[in-house]
Amino acid sequence: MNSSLDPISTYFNSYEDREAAFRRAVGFSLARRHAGPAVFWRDFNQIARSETRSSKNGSVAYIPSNPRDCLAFGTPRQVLMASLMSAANSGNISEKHVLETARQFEISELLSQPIRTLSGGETVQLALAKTTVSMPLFSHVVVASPFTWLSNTNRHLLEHLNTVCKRSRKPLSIMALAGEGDLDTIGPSDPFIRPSPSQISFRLKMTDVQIPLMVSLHPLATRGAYAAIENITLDLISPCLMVGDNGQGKSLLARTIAHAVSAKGHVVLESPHAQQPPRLLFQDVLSQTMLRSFGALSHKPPKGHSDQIYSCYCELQRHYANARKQAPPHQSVPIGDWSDNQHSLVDIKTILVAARLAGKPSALILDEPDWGMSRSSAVAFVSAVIATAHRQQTAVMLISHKPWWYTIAGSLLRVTRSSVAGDQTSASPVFTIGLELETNPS
Amino acid sequence: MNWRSRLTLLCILAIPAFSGYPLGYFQETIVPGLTLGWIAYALMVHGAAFGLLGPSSYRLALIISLLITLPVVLLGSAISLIALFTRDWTTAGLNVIASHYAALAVTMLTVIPLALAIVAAIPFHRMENRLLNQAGGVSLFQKSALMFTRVCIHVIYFVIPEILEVLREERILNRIMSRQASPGAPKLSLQVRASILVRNMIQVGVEGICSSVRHIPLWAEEIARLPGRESQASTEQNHRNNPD
Repeated sequence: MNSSLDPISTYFNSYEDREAAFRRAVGFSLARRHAGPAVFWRDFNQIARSETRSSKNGSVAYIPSNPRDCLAFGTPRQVLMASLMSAANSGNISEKHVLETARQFEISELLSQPIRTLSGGETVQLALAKTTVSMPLFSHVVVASPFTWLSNTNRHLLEHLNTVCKRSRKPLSIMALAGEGDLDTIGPSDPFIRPSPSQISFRLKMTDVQIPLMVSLHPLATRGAYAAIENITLDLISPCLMVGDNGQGKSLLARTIAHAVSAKGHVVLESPHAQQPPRLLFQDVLSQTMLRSFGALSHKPPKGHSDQIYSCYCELQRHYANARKQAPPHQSVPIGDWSDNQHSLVDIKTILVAARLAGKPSALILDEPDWGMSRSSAVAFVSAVIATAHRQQTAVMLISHKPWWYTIAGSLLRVTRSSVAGDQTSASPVFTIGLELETNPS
Repeated sequence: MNWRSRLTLLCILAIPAFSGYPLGYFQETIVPGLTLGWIAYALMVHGAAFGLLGPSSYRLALIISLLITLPVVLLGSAISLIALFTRDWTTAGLNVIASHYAALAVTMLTVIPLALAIVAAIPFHRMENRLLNQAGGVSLFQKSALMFTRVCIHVIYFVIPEILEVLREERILNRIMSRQASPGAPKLSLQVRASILVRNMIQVGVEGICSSVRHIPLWAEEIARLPGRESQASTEQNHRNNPD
């Protein structure tokens, strides 16, 4: 699959196992967010007490599963400048060095953009650039789940880091989830069960959509700058797959459709539940656990009392278990019991999906649904979500840069971002996102 | 108007909030707890914030102010009313509580947007860029300033937008304003809606604090690793002593 990277890669079946191994290898990284405030503060206290971060084998350069967590500054230029200064132990770093590094890692156009607005793949590209230039400071490098974020066209950057590590005789280890880097589409050996009804038609209409960028892109754009989405009316079939390379605006598009960002214009989704707004599961779902009190959710409803979220959770759990039977069970992790004290990432994702499906939304959008999951778990999870959503006539949209999902997609939409040249200080779009209906190669 | 003029104007506008001057000269009560001076001052602050920040940033500042003010005022007045009810219920006591919390609400809805406008007027990104572009290393003072700007930028441009995205996606405001949790579900009482608001505010607060402090160890480590003035001087000295 990834010939030169395979010998240095270790694969895990669950997010929790991979995180535990990563924390052991790195010494520590950041306080864990997914395990609740008590664990967060315990970790934070432990980290704050440690004087230096080092593992048994010396200092480690690391890229965690959320690559943003290893970038300490606000923009790529600042990250690269600081790393070059630290590595050279000199304040006299010229802009030329920064530009050269950015060019190598194909992030030249992003140098002034806030890291928050970079796509997942672009963030990994920056983290790889930072690790490469910081190499003299560290004895080895550990990278967690890079294939989740990097599209196939950008994997050579990881190979480049491997080459640099070999040249400087510093070991590189990759900790990934089982099947994470696969490029094959879903086949008979994957735990996917066709839903019934297998397809639901819906229409997506976007007119004059403008997403103001003032807050998110402050240093780049001044007042009035915005991203635009081309006017479209598309007749789609669920599950609809939105594909595109890193940085094409897939996640921004998803947030606009789900009204998670404030945008001007009209976004209309006509589906069997058109009166309900579409809902979205972010790529890094952990931030969405903010308003879910797991303690309160985990109590079983009293007998005779119907609880929509609990019913959806049970249905998802049932479909997931059925799908899992189609593949070796050790490659995926089961969805835990509703009343478990400690929830795994799969449980958390299931609770968040159940909470969304309980409101019968017009559509459920899953942004990179495989984040934090092995291939088997991800396929079984998506299979369960589609089955549950279709049973209640809710359309499903998947966003991914991976080719896995082509075989199950009812419609295939390609997302492309085109930069608009010109004066960014005036009220003009900084970039435009286009959507094109493609013929499914599968 | 450049950022220095904007900042100066906002700082001048903050003087009455800190000193009480000249608000004390306009003590005419409009409604119990609210004086003419404070109402005029609040309007002036909001007008300036709107003009200087623009509609979208002003709206954001207003939402944040409301999210902070409402739970404090609602919870505080509820606790005071319970205390009054259990001890000695009098109309005079009720008037005191009402006027106190009305004044508190207006003060908070004036001071918080003003503070947010001041923070928004400071070009933290430019400061951070300048601090990182120091020929000859970064001094200890500059490292401290870098840490300060880092925290501000992170909270303003990362933590708050991320929380707002989650709140928007969850349609929290709609849920609190609407009378039903979902179509066909039983109607929610005012008490239930108030409890949803308070619970969500606590969760937002906890998330805000956790997200704000989470990266501090990473920043401390990376900023500490930047070459200091002394290490820079010693590196140059070593180069001079050992040119090979």
